[in-house]
Amino acid sequence: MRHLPRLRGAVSASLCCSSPTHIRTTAVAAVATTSSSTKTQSLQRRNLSTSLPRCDAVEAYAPPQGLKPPPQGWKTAVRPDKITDPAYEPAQDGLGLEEVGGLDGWWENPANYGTGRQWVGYGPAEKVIDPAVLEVAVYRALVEAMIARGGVKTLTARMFAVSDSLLGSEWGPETLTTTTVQTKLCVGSNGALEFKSTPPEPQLEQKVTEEVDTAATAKQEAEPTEGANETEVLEEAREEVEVKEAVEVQEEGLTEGPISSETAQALLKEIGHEWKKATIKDYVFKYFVAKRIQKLTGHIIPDGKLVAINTAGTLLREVVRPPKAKKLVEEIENKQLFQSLPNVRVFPRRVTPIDKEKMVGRWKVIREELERRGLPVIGTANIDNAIEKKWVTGAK
Amino acid sequence: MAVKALHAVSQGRNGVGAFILQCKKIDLHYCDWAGSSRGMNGFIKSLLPKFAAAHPQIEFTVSPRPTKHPVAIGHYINGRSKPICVRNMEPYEILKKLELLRDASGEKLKKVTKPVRSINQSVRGIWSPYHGNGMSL
Amino acid sequence: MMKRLRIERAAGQLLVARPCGPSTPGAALRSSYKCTTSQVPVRHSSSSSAAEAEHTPLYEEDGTDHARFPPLEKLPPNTSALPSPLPSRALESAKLSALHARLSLSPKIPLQTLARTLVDASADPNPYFNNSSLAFLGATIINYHASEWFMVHYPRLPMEVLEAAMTGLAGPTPLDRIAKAWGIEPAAAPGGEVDPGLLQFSLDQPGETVRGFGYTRTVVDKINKNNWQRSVAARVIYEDNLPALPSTTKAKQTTPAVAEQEEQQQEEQQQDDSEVDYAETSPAAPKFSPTSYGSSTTRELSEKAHANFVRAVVGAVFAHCGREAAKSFVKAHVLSRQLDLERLFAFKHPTLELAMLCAREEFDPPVARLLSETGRLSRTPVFVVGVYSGNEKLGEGAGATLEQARLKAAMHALKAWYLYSPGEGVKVPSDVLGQEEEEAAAAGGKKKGGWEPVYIDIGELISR
Repeated sequence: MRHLPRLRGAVSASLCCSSPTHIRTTAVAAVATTSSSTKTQSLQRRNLSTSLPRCDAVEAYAPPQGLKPPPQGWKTAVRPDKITDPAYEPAQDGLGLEEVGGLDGWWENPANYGTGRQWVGYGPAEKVIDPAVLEVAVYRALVEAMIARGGVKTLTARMFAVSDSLLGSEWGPETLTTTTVQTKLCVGSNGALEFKSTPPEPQLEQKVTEEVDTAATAKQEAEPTEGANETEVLEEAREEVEVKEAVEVQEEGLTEGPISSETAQALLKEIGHEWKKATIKDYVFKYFVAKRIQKLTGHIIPDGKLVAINTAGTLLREVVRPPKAKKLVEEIENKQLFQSLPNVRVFPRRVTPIDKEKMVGRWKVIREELERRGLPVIGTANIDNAIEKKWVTGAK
Repeated sequence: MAVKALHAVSQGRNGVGAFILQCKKIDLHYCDWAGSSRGMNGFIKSLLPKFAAAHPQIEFTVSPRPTKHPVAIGHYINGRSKPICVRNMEPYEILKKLELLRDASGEKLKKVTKPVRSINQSVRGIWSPYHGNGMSL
Repeated sequence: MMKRLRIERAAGQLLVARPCGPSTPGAALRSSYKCTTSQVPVRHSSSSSAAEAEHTPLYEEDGTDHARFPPLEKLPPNTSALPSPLPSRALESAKLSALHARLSLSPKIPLQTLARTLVDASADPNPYFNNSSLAFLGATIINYHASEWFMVHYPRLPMEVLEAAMTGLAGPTPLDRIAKAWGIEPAAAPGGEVDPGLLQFSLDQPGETVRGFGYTRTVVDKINKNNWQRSVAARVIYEDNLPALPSTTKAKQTTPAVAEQEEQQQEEQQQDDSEVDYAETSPAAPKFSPTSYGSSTTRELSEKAHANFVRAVVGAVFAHCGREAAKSFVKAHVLSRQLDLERLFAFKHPTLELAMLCAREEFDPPVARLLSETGRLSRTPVFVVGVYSGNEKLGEGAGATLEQARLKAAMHALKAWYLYSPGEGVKVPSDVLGQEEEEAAAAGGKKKGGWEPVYIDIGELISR
């Protein structure tokens, strides 16, 4: 067995954190703290992988929420001669007695697993299909990406902070979508995507990030998760408004899920079609937009396609276009290839011999006769393969 | 006068009055998974609509036959059928096979040696030694 | 009778009320006729648990596992209990549309009518849903056109031979062959779930079909009761052209097993007959091989069902497209078939008959003369004999013996007489049917106009 390398020195507790969203930020911190020798760097790189280090893994392990381990220890029943209950009558045989205890099938019972290990997807459970809603989602993703970039092409810590908060947020209240969408995007001088009103309203940017944060914090308050790191990164100016907004949002109530089709269509009239001609070439920007689209709609744009996408319109088309049919029957149905041809019949599944008998009218006769003879109509009625041999030999 | 009658049944001559295309049904079987069926799948999507529209008297049946090679089966009025496996064929090749099925009569393939096949009697009559001027020796 | 939705009930008509909306074999209509149940997603119907049997199944329960094999055709429950498919299913059958196009039927004939022609009376006794009325109509049209064709083209044909010719050209057997040449397949058992493009008939019981029209004479009872022989003319007009096969009343009562016994008895009886018929060719009645499908009764029922289908199609063409269209359909499919009339003759005492014919026609009495011979003393002699009336040769025949040759010559002469034809291009009465009325109207009702026969024969040779 290969000897696994171990870190020199104490391991930061944050490295062993179970939440995957914080690996990047904590790993960055871990890199900064440890020594900068090449060997440790290689070790650090290895230890910055997704797998947890072995050394403290067992002690740091926390069971998923809701998991019910099997009860330990023994319980014995009272001896029959030491029972004090006057109504007790010993049973003469085992019929009708209740079976109690035992660990058989403990883990076959889904109630013992709890919800902690249930997989939570990044996007919504059901993909958004409505094209109007998809268009609004794409537009919103673009606006948020523009806000997060802040007109700067280099990566900054601020951008990370803003983008983190934006990435983590879902649809949120409808007002958030409306606000975001009211920002007008247009094609700039060199064809790139730009804010219509340059420079973009700082208030809008602030408001968007505020609302995102309040929604996030309100959500965190509802579900107790590790959200402390997120708030640490926020700027001080926002913290003042945060409290106010948090109260407002709580009073309004959260509206989870995508907006309705009618709202989307109304918003689309305001958005227009100008923005679709703009070019988007920055990979990081595109990735941000794609990640946002996945969070909002559930649609995943493959990296290969993302590289090939250069305009906002292409991006929209990629999201809105329905997936290619996996089966020929589906494609025939979608395109209605034989709709106008009365002499063509397309079957969605294999035509079995019984189907052929049904078409000819013989099946009902066969079925009637088999039922009259007491034979199974379909299959073999769990009759053993060697049943005749058993009859002959007299085996039971 | 007491003339008794024997019974006989008339013989049809396809094309003299009405013409009936001998191919009455074509079954097309494809597979979604097998690679040999790619041509057939493409044929069904691209060329079959036009072919079926051009032959309204042929009944077309398109049904999957999973994990099998694609096959086109022609059914004829004489009760026989002709299956053609179209594995690994391109759509236009499959179209040629379908045209072959359409043009066939369903009869078993046999070598034709005579130029004419007819139920009519010979026009000039069969030679007889008892008629004519006889043979001079 | 089973209660079911009948949207096309109408009284007193051969064809019920026109189907709602256009129903030509065009496509845009298929969607509008789609049943609402087809849009509902397939629900699994398990037939095993008794608790679930309370809820009514969405589709027909047919003993198969609908979860593994969703039904290909989403039929409502109890469809197979229906005697024949509902007319709405006709629009979705590819087989039926293909048949419609194969026969080059006019778009005026809806698919529902064609589906109806495929339902025999034995499958569905309801006269509004089977082909009995259409078959009767078609039978009259076919018989009319066939008989006028024979009468005009072969005016001297004896009635017996005419009957055999009609049977051979427009009887049940040739019509059965025509149906099979059209690619008609029979259903195994009739029912509502069967493909509407299949011919449906029952082998258990022959259905009641329309046989005639008008009143029945009181003599008919005696004919049937005492087995009186009808004249050929009466048989041609009133009956199916099948004098040799058992009547429908007998077929109703007998089961296939009994019918086979009867058939064996009939065969034994026929062997006792010592009548000799002179015929040039072997008898044309087909003999089925021992490996033929079914029994003679079932074959007869199948033949009748196929024949009725063809008649029903002709009736449908007449009803939807008119007289001329029906005539051209009959000409194209029935009358275009070739029948060698020469093979239908079987003479008794041909020399006597020829002599009487010559006497009637006031020809010189027929004399047989040996024209040529060879091999008189050998194993294979050939004698060529000619029958002369005066100096004119009436007929010629070759045979292995002088007697044989003489008889053949006489038969040849008689055939030459009976098979006289004024030509191929002679007009039949139906050709000028429409013009008659026009001419009469134009001439102010005085001129009779219309069809004029090219040749009218004096009639058959009557003796004793």
